[in-house]
Amino acid sequence: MRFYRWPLALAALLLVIASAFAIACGDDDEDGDGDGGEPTAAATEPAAETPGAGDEIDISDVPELQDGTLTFGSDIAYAPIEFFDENNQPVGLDIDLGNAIGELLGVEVVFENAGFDSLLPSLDAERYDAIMSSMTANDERREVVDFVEYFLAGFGIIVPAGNPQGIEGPDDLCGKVVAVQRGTIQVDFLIGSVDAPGGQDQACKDAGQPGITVREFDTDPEAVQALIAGQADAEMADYPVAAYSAEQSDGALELVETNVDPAPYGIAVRKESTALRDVLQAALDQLIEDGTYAEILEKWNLSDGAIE
Amino acid sequence: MAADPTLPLLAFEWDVFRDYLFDEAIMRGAMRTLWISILAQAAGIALGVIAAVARHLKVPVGSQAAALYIWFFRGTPLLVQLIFWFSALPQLVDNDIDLLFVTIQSEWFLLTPFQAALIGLAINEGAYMAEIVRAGIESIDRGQMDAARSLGMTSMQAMRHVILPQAARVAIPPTGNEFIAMLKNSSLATVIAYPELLYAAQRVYTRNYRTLELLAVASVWYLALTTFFSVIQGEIEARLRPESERGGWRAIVRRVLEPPGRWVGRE
Repeated sequence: MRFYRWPLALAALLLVIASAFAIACGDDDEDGDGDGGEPTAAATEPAAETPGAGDEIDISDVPELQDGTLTFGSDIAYAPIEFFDENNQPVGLDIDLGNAIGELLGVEVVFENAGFDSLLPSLDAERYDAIMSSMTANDERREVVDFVEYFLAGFGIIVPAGNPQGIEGPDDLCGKVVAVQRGTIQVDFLIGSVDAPGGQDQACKDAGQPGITVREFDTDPEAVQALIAGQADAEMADYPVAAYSAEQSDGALELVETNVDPAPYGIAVRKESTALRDVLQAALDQLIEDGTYAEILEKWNLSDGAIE
Repeated sequence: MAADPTLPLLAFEWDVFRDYLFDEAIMRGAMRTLWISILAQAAGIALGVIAAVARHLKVPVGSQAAALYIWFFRGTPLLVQLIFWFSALPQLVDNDIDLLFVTIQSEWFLLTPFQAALIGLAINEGAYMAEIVRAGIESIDRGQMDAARSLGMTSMQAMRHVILPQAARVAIPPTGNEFIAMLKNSSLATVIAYPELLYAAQRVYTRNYRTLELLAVASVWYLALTTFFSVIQGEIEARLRPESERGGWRAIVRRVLEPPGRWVGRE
């Protein structure tokens, strides 16, 4: 027996490692915990017949849609635009709108979950056909992708209930601690852009006030959690998200500023995906025309953000 | 600097890398990483020694408390611990506690990112150091303790003057390892908004989309720090050879702080 001890131990170790690999690579049914992006929603079947009203949209020269699937990359942690319900199904404004677009185009829609910061690099690496993730269509992003605009959202500011610090707007943030999600335009608003630092923080200092302490967190729920824990005086996010956080907080938080500086949300596509961009735009236009768009917005209580 | 829209985002831009390599915010982040690692490691060593000695000497209550501490803080993820100290603790203690002579204010439990990171890293490190110190203690011949006690020392005195100095030599390589790991584990503090090196890099690349370049910058700084301390560790080990020498604390300090130039103890 002694002669075989070492090879036996080695074999046992390899077996353990192999099983670990098998288990890790085997499960594909985890609900959206993937920063590797597990497909989470196959929402619609290809439409069997053309819709009654409106023109059928021709997708035959859209290379991304030839496989019959429209794959969106999305950070599904941004209620009420995209988030998981209690059955771990993705729901929200983007989901409903994305599915409606897919139905019109006659393709299956899949939302892949991933961290917000990884979406643009992944789109460029052709992991997705498009990004639909409450992404603001700002000039910096327009340099690298094209947008199909579909919603208007400004910032919201939320504070603990009762507003103990008396914050009524962005100017009251001087000297305060603000929680925010990393990489969002709210960070740029607060401390300026990477190339042009400054922002509201600088504006405070120029006015002789103390600057703003910005605490960045990986996700918006974590930033809200910091506010609830008392680790910040205010939290900033896109208006619908801020409103929803306040609504869901059981009275612990309140919204103080609504839709400041509205900017458009856009579906992002690669610069070379011109055909895809055009059919997405066409589908969106049709949804607006036939009233589906307004219906979806109203369902989520976000009619204030309608474009046009 | 505007990204050329005709180039794929994933092409590594060396000018961006060069621009941020000595960026002020990045370097300040690196200094914070170094600073909090040193503080947390020092505190962790202290906690570890206390816990290991309590267990070794079978101090009543202390020994069991130490065992519980080691089990819990080695058994839960460091990330979870950090989030606990930062986010959960203030919510658990949201009312002042009135004791007889003093009122414990709930604000004391609202830790800044720095405080939460320091406490989280230190307490976690202490649990691991306890096991390392235990290994050091157990490597010392039982005869040492017997001899010390036969000279009239109490167990604690024997620990302090005889056992621990010898155990320290044995514990230096794993402790050095722990510090190298600490330099990198401190990056977890980015999750609780402590502006160390990784946070500084993230603050840039989440807004200019130059993920690879900024992570490369951060990696260079982590490498610089870890390499520097690896060399220091090697030097300390060299100066403390042979490990079997029985000098006490003063001998250790003297040998480590020997001015460079003398070829001491190296074969």
